[in-house]
Amino acid sequence: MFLGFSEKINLGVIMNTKKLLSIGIVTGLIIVITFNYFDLEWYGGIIAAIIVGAIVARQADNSPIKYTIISVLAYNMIRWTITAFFDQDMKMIFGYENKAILGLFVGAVIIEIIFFLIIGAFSAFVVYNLRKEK
Amino acid sequence: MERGDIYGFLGQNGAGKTTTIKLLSGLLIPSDGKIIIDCMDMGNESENIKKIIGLVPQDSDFYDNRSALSHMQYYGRLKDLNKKDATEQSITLLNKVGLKDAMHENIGHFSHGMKKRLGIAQALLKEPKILILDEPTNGLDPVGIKQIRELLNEYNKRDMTIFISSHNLLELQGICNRVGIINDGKIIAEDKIENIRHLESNGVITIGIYNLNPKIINIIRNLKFVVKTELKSENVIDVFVNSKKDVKPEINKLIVENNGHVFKLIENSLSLEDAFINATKMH
Amino acid sequence: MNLQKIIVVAEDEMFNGSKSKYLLTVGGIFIFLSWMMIHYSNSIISLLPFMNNINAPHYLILYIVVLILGPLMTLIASYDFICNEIQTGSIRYIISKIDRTSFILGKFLALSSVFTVAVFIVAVIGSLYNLFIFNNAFELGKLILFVVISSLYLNCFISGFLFISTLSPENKTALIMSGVFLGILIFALFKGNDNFLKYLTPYFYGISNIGLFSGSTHKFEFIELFKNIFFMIIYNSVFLSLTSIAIKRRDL
Repeated sequence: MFLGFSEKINLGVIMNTKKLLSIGIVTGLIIVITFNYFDLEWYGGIIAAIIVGAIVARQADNSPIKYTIISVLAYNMIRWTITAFFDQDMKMIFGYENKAILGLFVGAVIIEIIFFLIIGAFSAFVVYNLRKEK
Repeated sequence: MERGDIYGFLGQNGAGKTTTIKLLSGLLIPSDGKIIIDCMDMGNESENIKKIIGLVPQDSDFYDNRSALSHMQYYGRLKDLNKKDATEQSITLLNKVGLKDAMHENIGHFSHGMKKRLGIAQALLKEPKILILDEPTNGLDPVGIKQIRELLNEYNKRDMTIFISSHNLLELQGICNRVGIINDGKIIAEDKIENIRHLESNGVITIGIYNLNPKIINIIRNLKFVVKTELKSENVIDVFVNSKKDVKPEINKLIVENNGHVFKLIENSLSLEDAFINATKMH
Repeated sequence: MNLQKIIVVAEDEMFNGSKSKYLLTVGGIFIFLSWMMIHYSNSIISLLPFMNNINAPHYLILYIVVLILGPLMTLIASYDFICNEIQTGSIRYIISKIDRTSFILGKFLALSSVFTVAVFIVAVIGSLYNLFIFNNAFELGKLILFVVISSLYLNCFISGFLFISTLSPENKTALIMSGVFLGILIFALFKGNDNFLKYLTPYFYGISNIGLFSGSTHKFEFIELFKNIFFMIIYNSVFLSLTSIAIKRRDL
């Protein structure tokens, strides 16, 4: 009640952005974890990126690509962080204490995430522009 | 619209004029409702409808590195004319709109007015039944506007129905026989041009009263045929009335009964501009 | 959809359109680069020893040129074919006269025709070199197969780029997104052998047909060829349908 009209609008925009990003991140995480369980990480990553891009593009009023990139990046970072702490293979890689192996691994992960970002952004672009203009 | 009408479409910026025109010409697909032109539904028979309409869109450009004649020939062929007929009609129409000397020049060298004329010329290819124009006189000089008006009148005499949206209210007054006023996506008034001034108020009575005071103003405002009043000066008031009969004697009698001394009592008819402003203010 | 109007749009785009010179130039560059490759084919053959075992590898060289250069040339030619018209508003003069699907198909036909002719010229040049310079027999079958497969392959990319051009609000976005699309296809192809995504790329079907040009025709399985042709036609149809849907949703 202490906020002026413009502050209330800004707060509304921030709430909508938070909601949008939350939906994107949660959806992505669910899909990725599901496919991970069936040993289909690569396809899970792609499908998650496409679906998150589509969902964000349908909900967003503007900048769908920006929100998609943030969502895809966020859930991939969360996913890899969880994997780093709990996955046995990952503990083995860290256990080697070999910078070269670690560097190679991190590089491969980064390339994979970049690819998912690109796929998600492309999906958002297509869905956003296929929306019927009102 | 009736066949043979020249229908003027008025509205403020953002009222929906261009959207309506885009819907009529198939540039925009409606999310709801139907568009019926000449008993054909745009949803099912858009190809047949496009054969009978000619569109002059607003703010649309041509290809810079093509000549006017080349453009016209292309559009003519899209209208199912063969190459020879397309060329003949193109040359005739370019002459009519005053682009005879510039027909082989590239559009990149054309002025805004010349592009407008080309826009009108391409819409007249194959003499459509219905001509739709979106602000066709924007950017034209008075000579150009007059030429366009004469051209439209000429085609209207050949039974062409013309739908023209404009901000130039004086221009519409001179050419249209019917007018529609749109505001916020809805038609708020539509009638013959002579009747549109009947909208909300059909006349203004200017009354000069030596001892004009709030009591007299209130008495005038409470009359049932008075739409609104505007104080012009200390002693002069404009009274907007909506009545088919002469109300001046009634107003005069009322003022005199309330000890008012009338020194002026003149009736003026509303211009289309006033009617338009009144209508959009009321809605 | 009106065939007559599709042809009018295509014809105008190829010969009188504002981009016709640009389009023909791109086709010309493609032909020139292909000619350069066939002209220096002996050097290429000496660089790649496995080619020595192939009888008349010149068609193979030309086909590899089409596989690699073709998508880039089609990107350059078609990325702004639709979005430029929408951006300038010139599309309104056309769509008020014809339906949107005919417009899209007309544009596609123009691009497809230019690249089909370019591929045909490249094939003829290759045949002439084969016949007169390398003294090999003239193989009509290979020429026809080369033209058919190469043009179908390039059409897959043309339809994809037209779809992106229809979605894009401006030329810059169309160029970037077309590049991204190409990048995704290349990455999907090279990801790995157990990757099913490669089946979604035209590259896969193009590369599958290399066997046609690397040996005598009868060794190649024609069932494989027809399967590849079928999938390339499906690919084209899907993207053209998507383009048609996309343009119907655009506010022009």
